[in-house]
This record gives sequence, C-alpha cells and structure tokens, in this order.
Amino acid sequence: MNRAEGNDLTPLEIDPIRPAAMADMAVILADPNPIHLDAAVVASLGLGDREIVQGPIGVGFVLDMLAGALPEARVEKLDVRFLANVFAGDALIAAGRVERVERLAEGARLRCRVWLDVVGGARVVEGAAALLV
Amino acid sequence: MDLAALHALAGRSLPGGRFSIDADENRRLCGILGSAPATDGSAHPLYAYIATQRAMGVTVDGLFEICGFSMEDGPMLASTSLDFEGPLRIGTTYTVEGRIAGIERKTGRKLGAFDLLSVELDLLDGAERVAGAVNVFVLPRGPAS
Repeated sequence: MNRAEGNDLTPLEIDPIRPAAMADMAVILADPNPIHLDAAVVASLGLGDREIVQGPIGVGFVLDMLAGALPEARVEKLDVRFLANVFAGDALIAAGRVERVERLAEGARLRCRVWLDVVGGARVVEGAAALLV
Repeated sequence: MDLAALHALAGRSLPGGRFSIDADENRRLCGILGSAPATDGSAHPLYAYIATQRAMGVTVDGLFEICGFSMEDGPMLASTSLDFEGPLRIGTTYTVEGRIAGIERKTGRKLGAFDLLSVELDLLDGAERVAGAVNVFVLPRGPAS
C-alpha cells in the first residue's frame, strides 16, 4: 500500500515534453518569458541550447503523481524547489515516499517527500507534500 | 532601482482580480500534463498556481517591471508552495489577492548577483480562502561586482 510510512509512491513516467505544449502552457500561464519559447534566447543567456520547460509544468507532474499514487487522498500542501532546468525533449519521472503518517481525529495526514528527475539525468524538483486521507 | 527601493517593495499589495476556471482550458492543461480531466467538476489543482498568477492584477512581466527587471533578462521560478482547503471548481469565479512578500539580494558563482522575489497570492471564494501560492523568483542582475 502506498500510504504506509516508508513506502514509495507509485512513480509517474512522463513522455518527452514538446515545445508546442510549452507554447500552449505559456498562454495558460500568461507568461511570455522567452526562455520557454525560443532556444536562441536560452543560448544567448548561457542557459543551454533548448527551450526551458516552465517550472509549473513540473509542479503539475508532481500533483498528478500524487493523485495517481494516492487517489483517495487530497493534497493539503505542496512545497517544491526547482534545482535545475528541464529542457524541451526531456523525459521525466515523478516519484515520492511517505515519510510520516499523522493520525487525526478523522483520517490521517500523510507527509511525503516528492521529487522529479530527468530520465537518465539530474533531479530537477524536490520538495514535500502533505495529504489528507 | 537601488537595493533600498527594492526592499521598500516588501509588503506592497498587488491589485488582485477575479478568475473563473474554464472547462476547455482545464482540458488543455490536462492534455499538456498527459492526465485525464476530472469528471466531478473539479479543476486540476495546478490552478492554485495558474489562477493566482493570472488574476494577481499585474502581468508576469509587469510584476518584474515593478522590481526594475526585464522579462528579457531571464527570470526563473526558484520555488513554489501551494496549499489547498479543498478542490478547485470549474466555473466558480474566484477572487485573487496578493502582495510582494520581499526581495532579497544574493550572489552566486553561476548567476553573479541576483534577487529572490517572493510573492504571496491567495485564492478566495467569496470571503473564504480556498487555496494559495507563495512563489519565489530568481531575477539575475548580472556579474557579481
């Protein structure tokens, strides 16, 4: 069971992220930052040679991993730090672990460590989540 | 903009605004993330970030301009904290309130001088706070002096 202390959460594998999806996300976020849309801008800033994926997309993957691993739970809080950039074309894997289970008068609060890794690469997001079950 | 002027921005309220989560856009978002939209009328929880950013009352580039920073100089999201009192609903018109929590000058080997801009945003349904976001952005200021 995912929800016991020390248990790993079922990971979520994410296909390579396409620039077209990032362009659509820029509209949804109302964020025209060119580092997400133009590889030449990324290169001019010395940040790499591909478009940089918007950080909130990574947050969305972590939220979806939690929803898939703990479908009976509701996210109360999610804190994440962005450790490195994700680039267009990167495949990712979101995962986590239940660190502590706090018994409540009704149900329980699960405190989890969560992360997002580039497949074959670096950890790009890490953080903590609290979920109510 | 000098450092004292930047520090003086701490506590400044943003105009805020109203935001309604559109069903079609929620489907687009889920498509980007590769997930299936919920069938119970709830929106993807990432709208705690999206709705508060969209309706904070200034554009993202306008927020950075307040801090004397251009979008062209490559701002980056350093961290985000989302909290939820319950699910977000498609079609509900939410109110967004926000403020600049602070700006802190730092120096790093890779970026040189940079500022950490912290913004606190609340999503309300009527008078009830239903979600919130605290976002910290890195604003590179050029080589360390």
